[in-house]
Amino acid sequence: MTERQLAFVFDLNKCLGCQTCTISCKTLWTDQPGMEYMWWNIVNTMPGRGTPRDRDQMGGGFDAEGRAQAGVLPSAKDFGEAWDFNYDEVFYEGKGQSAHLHPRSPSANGKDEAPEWGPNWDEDQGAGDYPNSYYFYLPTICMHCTDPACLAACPRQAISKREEDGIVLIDEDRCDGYRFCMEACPYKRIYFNPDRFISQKCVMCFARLEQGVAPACVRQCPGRVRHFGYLDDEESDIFKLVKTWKVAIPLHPEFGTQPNVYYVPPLAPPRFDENGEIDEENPRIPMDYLRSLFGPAVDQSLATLKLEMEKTRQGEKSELTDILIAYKWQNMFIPFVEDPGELSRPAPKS
Amino acid sequence: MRVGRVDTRDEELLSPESTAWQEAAVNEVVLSPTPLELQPTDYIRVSRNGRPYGAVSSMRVSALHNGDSVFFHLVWQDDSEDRAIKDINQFVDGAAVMFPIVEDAPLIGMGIQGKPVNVWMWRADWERPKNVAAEGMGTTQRRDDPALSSAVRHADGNWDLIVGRSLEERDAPPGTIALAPGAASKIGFAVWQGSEQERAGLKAFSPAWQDLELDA
Ligand code: SF4
Ligand code: SF4
Repeated sequence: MTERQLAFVFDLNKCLGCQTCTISCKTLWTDQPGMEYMWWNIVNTMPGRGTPRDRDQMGGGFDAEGRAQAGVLPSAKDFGEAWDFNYDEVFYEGKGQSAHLHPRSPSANGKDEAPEWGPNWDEDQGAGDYPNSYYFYLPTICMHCTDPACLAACPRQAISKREEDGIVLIDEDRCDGYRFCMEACPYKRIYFNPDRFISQKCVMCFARLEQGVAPACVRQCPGRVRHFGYLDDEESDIFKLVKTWKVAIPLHPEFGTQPNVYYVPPLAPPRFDENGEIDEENPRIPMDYLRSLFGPAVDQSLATLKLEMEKTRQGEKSELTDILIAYKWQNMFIPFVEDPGELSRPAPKS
Repeated sequence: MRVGRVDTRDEELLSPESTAWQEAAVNEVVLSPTPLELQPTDYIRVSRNGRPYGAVSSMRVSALHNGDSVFFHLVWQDDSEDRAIKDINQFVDGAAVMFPIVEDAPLIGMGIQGKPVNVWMWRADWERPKNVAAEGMGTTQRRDDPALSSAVRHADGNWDLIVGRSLEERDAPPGTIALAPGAASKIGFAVWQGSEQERAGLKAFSPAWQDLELDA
């Protein structure tokens, strides 16, 4: 346990799957050579295979006794390569009317081969049969775990967890590109930069935090999905959602790393039964599926959510629904409420 | 291991075909996997338990110097030639020679605090070898060293590597072994097979120091 811990709560009932968070992170942090395929923040449709594909089957983390578990090192294809496109053909070779723009797999060495996978490839497929089909969006970043498997796996002590806020960082000068961290991270949130021969991941926008500005993915989210703050700050949304109301719960708690991204699990509309009648008893998203993601705590969380939302419907006051509605956007990430547009910046290096 | 003295120029000693190497004594060095229980993290021990590494079991080594530079010629079997990272889950081949800086520096664990070792490390994707100072696992400091040179080819399922360094001590990176004609030291060897995802402490190594004597 570090002295303090910054944490996120993502409300899955509000996520639009718009990937604004993903793009805000991409433009801020991963636009350099060797980072083309990196998405430190990614939003996947669930049920789905995730990014990298089948990540939940890739091992890593710790067992119930705290023993390290072997993990798989994903390939660039598993994450989804950065495709290129036939721009030359369409724009410069006079085939604008006959050829259409399409992605090419970069590992096909110039051959015009269609990619067979990409990040968020199975977008909006979900599961279930009409009229009971369902899906929801699941954003993931590095969870800045309380017991980081990445840190424990590194033989060079290149990964550290900051005492003052619990941010997990890779020291790029110490990293030798061994990638044990990538294998060991059960959430598969570390990427390898082949150009620089180092591993890289979400840095929680620590440079923004030092200026009092919330992380880019938090501030840019148009869905008001992302709450952010100190886990021990009793006034924060984080404390109230995680500790007081206990509706925000970790993803895959059985991975054993004590992640610090918490999720408000998804409610779903009721099912239709065989006669086309509304079946209030059975939720459209099978509870077993949700338990497989969020553990047994998901039952209580959904029950509390339903109860408090019902209160609001009846015109009563509910602190919980008020927090989740997020009437005032800036309140979602107190004390990191500075507007980056109003900060003075050092002159850009020439 | 004797380091014979020859009157051959550096450029020629950097060629595996040179007659000097054909005439040099060949030492058969036995290699074995580094012990699993000594791997530095629980993760590495658990993940490589039952997943063998360090399968290269021997290496043929010759050594020569010409008064100005010393060269080691290493030949070992490796059917897959892994020269470049083609995917993020791949690793490249490598080899290293290691020397104790103080006489009783331990070979296993790459030295220990206060008892450093010096490693000349070659990796198939590097332009030239690197000079590594270490005082125990996880403490390695890699430095560029223009005095280091190498030549390599992969033929008939073997790596054939020459790695050498000028005997000049001026401008040597901190922690570099001082070798001179007539001097004695010790030497160890290591090999990484990229195709087996070997890196860091996952390698084949010579488990004990060998004596090293440079002809006067
Ligand atoms: S999510 Fe993975 S990379 Fe991030 S702290 Fe946890 S184990 Fe490390
Ligand atoms: S920006 Fe917000 S709403 Fe859009 S995908 Fe990300 S978390 Fe969901």
